[in-house]
Amino acid sequence: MREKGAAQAGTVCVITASGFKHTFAGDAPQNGAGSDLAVKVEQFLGRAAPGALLLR
Amino acid sequence: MPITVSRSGAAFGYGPDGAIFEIGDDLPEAYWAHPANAWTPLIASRIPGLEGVRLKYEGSHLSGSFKDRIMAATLGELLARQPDCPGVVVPSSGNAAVSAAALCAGRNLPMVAIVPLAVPVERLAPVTSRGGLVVRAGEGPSEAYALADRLADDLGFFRLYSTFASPWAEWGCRSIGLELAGQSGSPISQIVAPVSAGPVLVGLANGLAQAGLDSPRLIAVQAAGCAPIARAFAAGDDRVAPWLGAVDTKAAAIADRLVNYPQDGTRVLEMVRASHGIGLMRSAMPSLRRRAPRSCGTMASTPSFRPVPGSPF
Repeated sequence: MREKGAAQAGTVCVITASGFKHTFAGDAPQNGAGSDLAVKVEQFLGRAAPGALLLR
Repeated sequence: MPITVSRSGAAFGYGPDGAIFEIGDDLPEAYWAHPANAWTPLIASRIPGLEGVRLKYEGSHLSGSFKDRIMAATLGELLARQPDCPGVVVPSSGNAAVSAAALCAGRNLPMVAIVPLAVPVERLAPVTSRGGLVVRAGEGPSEAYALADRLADDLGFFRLYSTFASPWAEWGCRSIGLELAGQSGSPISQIVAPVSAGPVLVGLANGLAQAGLDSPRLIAVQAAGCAPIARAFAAGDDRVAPWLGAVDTKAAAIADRLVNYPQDGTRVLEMVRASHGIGLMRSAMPSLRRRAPRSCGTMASTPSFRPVPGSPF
């Protein structure tokens, strides 16, 4: 997953559990903590559910 | 009884007096027969005492649970109608959040999961690693759903739910029955499955019906420490009432009080009774092998339960 230059059209990658753990580089959309959405959710929780926790 | 709606007319929410909407159209092959939908295996049990039983192993989905069925069907329908959907809110006890995170990441769709405080942080890592936000709040699923309603309103996000409030939840679970119909090769006498709100069991039965098979006996298993449906069955009640007592079980994923949506439980109760099945309460102990049904049957999952004197199991 890290060596994307090796990938060509038609490539099939076999993802074993071990392969995933050692090569996954967090290539995912970043909607996480610190994003605009996170700020909006925290504001909502402050008003509506003070006991709730936004996981960071 | 549910109100039947068309696939194109299906919408989120309940009807008058809390009525459940059920999609009358068949689940399209794109959601189950297409090679992109790897079927979960049906395994002949080799567990002593469970000879003749087959196990429908729902842990082999991409995200590790049958929630992939619900999320795939719901997001498929949602995004076909609303490609510019700004995001989704997912109340969950763990599995739904992980499944939604995997599917939303692939679609660049923002998501916020709301999970009970008791869900371990480690269980939520697959959500945050895929870019999902996680809010930890409240005791159980009912509180997560209540907060999700408010958050979805506040953000203008879609409700990606696993209860009957979302007609696509039960619809997506029909794929279990459709797969079973193609896999079993011999008659299925009964289905045993753990039940929270219930779309998995009702959807499975409706999937078998879509495949042209009669419904086997449906056996809904709930944790003894939170069993609103099984309690109503045992009492002979026509309607399920929310579980307002203490919740005392380690099976948190199915410990749903059904507060604010007891009609979900009533729907399951109706299906169980119509199939001449039963609702069971069991303590969460790993002693399934000692008291599982011995006639040829299928388990849609692997609930663990402890025998109760006088019970057929």
